[in-house]
Formats: sequence, structure tokens, C-alpha cells
Amino acid sequence: MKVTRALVVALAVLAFGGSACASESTREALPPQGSGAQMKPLVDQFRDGRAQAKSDFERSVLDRAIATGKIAPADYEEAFSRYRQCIEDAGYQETYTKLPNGIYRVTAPSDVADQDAYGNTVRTCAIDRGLASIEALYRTQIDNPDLLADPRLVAVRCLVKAGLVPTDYTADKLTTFLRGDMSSADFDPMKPEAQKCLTAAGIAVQIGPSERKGGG
Amino acid sequence: MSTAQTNGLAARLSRRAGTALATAGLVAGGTVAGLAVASPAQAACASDYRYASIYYSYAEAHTEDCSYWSNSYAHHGGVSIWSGWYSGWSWARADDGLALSYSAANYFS
Repeated sequence: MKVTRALVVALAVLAFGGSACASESTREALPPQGSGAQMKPLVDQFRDGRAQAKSDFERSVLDRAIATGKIAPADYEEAFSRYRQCIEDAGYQETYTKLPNGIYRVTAPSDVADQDAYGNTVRTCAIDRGLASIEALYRTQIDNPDLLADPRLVAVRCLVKAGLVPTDYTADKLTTFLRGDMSSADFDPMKPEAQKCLTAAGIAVQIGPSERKGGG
Repeated sequence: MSTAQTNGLAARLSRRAGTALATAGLVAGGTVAGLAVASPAQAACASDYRYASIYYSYAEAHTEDCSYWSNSYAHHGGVSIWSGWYSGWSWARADDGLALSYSAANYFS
């Protein structure tokens, strides 16, 4: 999708409770989204992460990644273990599912009374224990080998390849589908093949039992 | 994509109200949160979009080329989902039929 000025304005209007703070000059300097433009090389992203690292552990993982060109699965596992311990120490009981790509999906506790406090704990643990940067970079390494700047293209290409959407399906259409009421029924996001495509692009969709039964 | 697949999804979603009606439910019973947890430097290059109502919850974060990462969260009724930490963009959508419990948030690192 090409992020147009109109979309920037729309984001600003629609982002209630927060703000869409990017300046237009910042956005206009970026390559057009959805065009297949690429991120910077992965090792350069590792270097950026290294410059912002918060701990010796994070620095050591990214030093190795810079030297070898990739983050080792064992380093991601260690980062996740550290995050998990932090969450447990904070008194939350998350559940974890290891996805086919080796990355863990986090399911929030069902009894969280203060969602904001929980969310901030997740963020703090992920940053302090090094998971945020290592997981983000590891996902790029695994799921976005073409380093597409707009990861929606990762999902679109996968969905097309799986035969779940027509060949002329676009990143714009995907955004409209995800943001809307899904009444357009572009595809069933809960199909395993679709979930794989969406997850690879940073898109998490969960439709619960009540909705699947058509209730509500 | 088969017709059966699309018809199945359409059938379970066809009862939905339109976007305008859904928007009217934005402030009752749930929360949205987002860039308040981003640092000023992050806020300068990050944007987010959130929607949470009795119909569904949706969070979308965009961090441009800022070497920051985001994690989107959506909770709706009996289901919740984290996107996990991603470079550039992250999205989360939770839907469990009509529900009074809902929230959508984006977190930045």
C-alpha cells in the first residue's frame, strides 16, 4: 500500500485515545509502502538493535548475530525464557504456544483485571530482558527473507500462493479487510493456511467460539 | 479460495452491524491504549490505530524505519491475542461475538 497523505490524515483522525504522531515530512521521505521496497540489510538492523541494547545479554546475542549474519534459535529461546521468568515474577500466568516457525505466541491470562498494567508489564519485561528486539529481528530473519519493508506483502504473497485470495489481491485490500467488520469475506483468517500467512507478516487474528458459532 | 470458504465466513459475519453503528460503541465498557507507552522519540516516528467496541477489537502499530519494534494486543470477550514483537508493523484483532469486555493497545520498544 502506498501510504498517502490521505491515509496519514485518516490515521490521525481514527487513532482515538492516542495520537498518530508521525510528521508528514518523515513519512514522505519513506519509500512507498506496498511497492516491494526493502528494509535495510539484516546485519545493519542487528547493528541498530545493538546500539539500543539494554543489557549485556542482548548485546552479546546481537554481537554474535552481527558476526554470523543471523540470530541463533538458541539465543531467541534464551531471550524468551528470560521474558517468561519476568512475567511469572510479576505474578501473571500467560500461556505459550510454539508456532511452526519456532516463535512463541503469547496468550494473555484470562483473569487480568487491569489490562493497562498487564500490558505495561509485558512491555517492560520484553524490553528489559531483551526479547523485544531479538524477537522482532528473529522474525524478520525467518519470515521475511526478502526484507520487504511492508510486511503485508509477505502475507499477500503467501495468501495468493495458498490459493486463498485471487492473484490481484493487494495490501490495501488486506488492511481494509482486517480493519473492517470482515463482512467482505475475502478469506477465512482462521484457516491454518491463512494463519500461517498472517503470522509471518505480524498479523495476529483470533476469532473466538462465540463468533464461530455465529452467536453474539 | 473456494466459494464454500467465503460463504462460511460471510454467514458467520453477516449479522454484523455497519461500521457507523460499531463506532457508536467505542467508549462503552472497554479500553484503548497506545502511544502513551512510547517514548517521545518513538512517538515522533510511530503511529497507531485502534478500534475497540462491543463488536470486535483491533490494534495496528506502525513504526516506520525507526529501528523500533511494536507489539499489538487485542482482547474481546473470551479471546485475546498478542501479535508478538515485530519490525515496522504489527496487527492484532480479536473477535468473539458481541461482548462488553474489550480492549486494543499497541506497545513500542
